Amino acid sequence: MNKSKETLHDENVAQCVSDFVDDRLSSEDLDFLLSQENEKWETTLKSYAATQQALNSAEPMTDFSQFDLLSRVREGIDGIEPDLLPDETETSPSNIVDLSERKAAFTESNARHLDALSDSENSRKSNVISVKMFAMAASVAFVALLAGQLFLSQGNDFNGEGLPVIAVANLDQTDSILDDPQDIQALSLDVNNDRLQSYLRQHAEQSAMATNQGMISMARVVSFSTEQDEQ
Amino acid sequence: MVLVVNLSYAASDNSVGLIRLSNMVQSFSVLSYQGIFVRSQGVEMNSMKILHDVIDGSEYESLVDLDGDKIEVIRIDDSVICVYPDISFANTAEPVTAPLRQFKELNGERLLEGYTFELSEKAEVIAGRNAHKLSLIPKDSYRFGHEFWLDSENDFLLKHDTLNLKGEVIDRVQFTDITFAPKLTKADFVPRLGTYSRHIVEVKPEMTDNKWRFDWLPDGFAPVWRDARVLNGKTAMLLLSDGITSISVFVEPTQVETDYSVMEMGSTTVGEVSRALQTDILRLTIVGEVPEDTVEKMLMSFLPRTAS
Repeated sequence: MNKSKETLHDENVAQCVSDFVDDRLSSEDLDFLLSQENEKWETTLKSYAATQQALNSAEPMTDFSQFDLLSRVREGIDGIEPDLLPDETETSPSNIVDLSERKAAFTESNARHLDALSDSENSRKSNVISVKMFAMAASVAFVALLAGQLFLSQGNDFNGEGLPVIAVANLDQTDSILDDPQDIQALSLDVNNDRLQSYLRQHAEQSAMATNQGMISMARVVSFSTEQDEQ
Repeated sequence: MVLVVNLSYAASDNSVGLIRLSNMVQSFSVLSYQGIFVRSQGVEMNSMKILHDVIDGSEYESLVDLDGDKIEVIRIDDSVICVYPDISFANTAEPVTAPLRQFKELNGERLLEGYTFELSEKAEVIAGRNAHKLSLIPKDSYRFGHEFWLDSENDFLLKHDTLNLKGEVIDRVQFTDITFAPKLTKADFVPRLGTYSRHIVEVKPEMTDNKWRFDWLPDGFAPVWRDARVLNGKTAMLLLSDGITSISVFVEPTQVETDYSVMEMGSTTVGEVSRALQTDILRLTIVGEVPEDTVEKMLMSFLPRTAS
């Protein structure tokens, strides 16, 4: 049975909210998310944010009910100093969000996104890139990093000034591996190497039996195909 | 006097901790349960649905990836079925090849060589159930710490954190919903309509003599297999474990010597070096949920067995 356009739209927004909380929202999807009505999606965003914080932080829980998260992101983008942005940009892959194009593209994105809804299941996979175990090419460009967790982690004293730009960087043309920065200590090995992928999989499968955690330890193996596919 | 009291507490925690950990291992295959757990590593998060029951004397188990491509693994005793969203996906995805049987006995002696057990008296609520935290505190810096939250009634694992040497969580598995005795039937372990299933036939692995040894290993680690497993006809795989953590070692011939290189992803470390051992140049790769220092030290202490 075909899903209605409204259902597809809602599913797409829900996925965007999830990706935003996971810090892997693409530039286009952020545009799309920001164009949605606050009231309808704030509750979803807050519940996802609370779950993410509970899973990944030992800090006391932030009371997300006290502030408007989507408005906070909008304020953050509006508060970027123009001097920080580059004159030209060539790429904005994955969670690297090109902020210089943000405002100009804002009004066009919603219509474009709706047109693309019918292909959303396929296109999402190519847009959203796993930040774990992934190497990507980057053109020479200044980019600003914008992360959902940053907005979610600030307390009620958020004022929208200067916060959204985590880093303004000049990327060179060499391949770089994106990962959670705290996870990367050394990157001499290329994880995209087929041989290493095979070894990682063999290890995940065989060690699942040796770690005494039942089928739960197989979670790594089951999700492994998805991770490989995203690459 | 104080020291004696503390030691007795420690011994007690070790004994009780081992019993509860052993109960945890048993509970996976004995209890009937249905639940959803989340696994997070770095910024990655996956939710999984798990079902388990013993029906008419057979063990039924199902694990479904609720995110991404919704791959499912169904196990009925020793038979494993991989369920994919469609046939095209099945043709491109790597099948699960491992048998899903688990070790049902815990090697307490080996665990106590590497960890001190600490059992929290304070109950916490995980997935709506009371749980007590069992901490496995590493005795050295060659392994990560572990915290298990065990159900107060049946010792089922409700949450597991892996901690790095700074005590930071680097890997977490946590149930968000769990029901015990959910009255499952065989129909709950049938692949969904419209999916494509593939029966995984367990091929007896090709084994070869283990021709290598380690001059040094972290306390408590020992080979899981007596022999080495052969992969692709040329690579030998060894598996070591301390009962909770495992380390895989891959050995294959190569042409050139290369320096040590390493990569860390969450709790998993991969280290590699190619060097001349006797007459051959061998590439050694170690993959394990251990600190980088452990991988490097093991790579440097890898030696061929000498004929006795």
